[in-house]
Amino acid sequence: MTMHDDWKRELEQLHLTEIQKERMIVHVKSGKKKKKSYVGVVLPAFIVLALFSILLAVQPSKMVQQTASPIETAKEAGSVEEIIWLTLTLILMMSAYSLAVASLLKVKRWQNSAFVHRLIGFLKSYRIIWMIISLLGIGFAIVMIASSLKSSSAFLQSLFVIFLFANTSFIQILLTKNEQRAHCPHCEAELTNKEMLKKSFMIYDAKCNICKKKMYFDRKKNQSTYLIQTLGMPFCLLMPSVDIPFYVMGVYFILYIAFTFGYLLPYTVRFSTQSEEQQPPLW
Amino acid sequence: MEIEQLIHTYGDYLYHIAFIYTKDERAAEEVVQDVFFKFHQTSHRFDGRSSIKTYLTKMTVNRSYDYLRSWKQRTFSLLEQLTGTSTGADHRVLQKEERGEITNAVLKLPVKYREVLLLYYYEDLQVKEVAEFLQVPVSTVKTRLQRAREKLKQLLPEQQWEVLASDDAR
Repeated sequence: MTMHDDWKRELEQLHLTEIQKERMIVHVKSGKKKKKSYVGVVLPAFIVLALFSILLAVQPSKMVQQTASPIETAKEAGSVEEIIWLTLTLILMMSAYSLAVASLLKVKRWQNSAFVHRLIGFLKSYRIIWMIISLLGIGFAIVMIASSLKSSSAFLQSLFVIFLFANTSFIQILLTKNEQRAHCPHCEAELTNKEMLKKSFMIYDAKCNICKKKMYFDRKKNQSTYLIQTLGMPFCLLMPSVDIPFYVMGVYFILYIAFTFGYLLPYTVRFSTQSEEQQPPLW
Repeated sequence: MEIEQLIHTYGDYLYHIAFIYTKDERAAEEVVQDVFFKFHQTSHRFDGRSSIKTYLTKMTVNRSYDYLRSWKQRTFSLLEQLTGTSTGADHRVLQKEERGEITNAVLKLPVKYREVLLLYYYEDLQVKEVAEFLQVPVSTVKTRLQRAREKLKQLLPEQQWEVLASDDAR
């Protein structure tokens, strides 16, 4: 068997399904050339325009009386701090968008999901346009809302914290992109979130609910993955030093705990058949 | 031959060709669909000088090139470079690891090398026939084959490459 025979066999694995062929026959016989869909471009543009019109309608007198540019409005109000928060928020937003796309493409355990496939296809169809329009649209909305609110600084800080949370979450997801859900080392049964939560509090007496055999935390494996769980913690500690209000910090902390225990935990914990004494030393 | 029969007979074959050019299963399906659509509309132009298979193959290659030159494909490539994700829509239907080692290695090559490998090894054409098909000199085809093999040698394990090298000496 030569290499090109192997290649031919590999290519044979790729084939059109009967449904695809039938669809093709129907399309060819219909005699109508498939029109390109511009919905992906027109619809977001329309939404952004509509949003813009609504914002104008909400604060017409303020917009006319003050200078045209919202940035200048903010400057005039003496809010240099707001501009800094705004810039940082926009940077975090762009970064969160890129990380979200990368996560959709890279996380292995998501690749079997039909929804994720549809989402990837949707994003890929006109993704540069989507990216530009969504960034411009959201950025513009942030500026408009921030300049029209009295407590714009707190609003921007909240947005900053939400995007910071989004960034750390997507980084954590990307770091666990190849991980499978935690499972029993004896019967391979996957653990539910509720079971994981229980077992994380009784690390020396964990039993599989299916086969009832004892399982132990894999010390070596877990040491590296625990670091992923704590990735968002430094930001939480740094927040008071950059004058972020306590309640905004609280929101971040709640989101962080909910994400870590509600989603991330099963992908960062591994169980072993050996007890801690039997496991090899870490060094 | 009726269009249904053509699709059932040559659909998969043309799909493989389009896939090697576009590196994207959905794009390959679109290309094949366009080819059959166009053939159905302009079948009166087919004068029978070549076989219907060769005619459809040529149409598929031309349509694949149209796709590669298209704005849509270029935006994909640009964003892939920006985000650092892999080529084409590799993640779509069939995962990279499911495609096989040789196909993945071939897909990493530039299109000019992929096409000579496809015509020479997959379609079993002689070098002269490949040159006529692509409308390039015979020496160009030989050079491209040589370079494609060199690049493949770097991508594939040694023992597998040796088989391909000896096979090419036929």
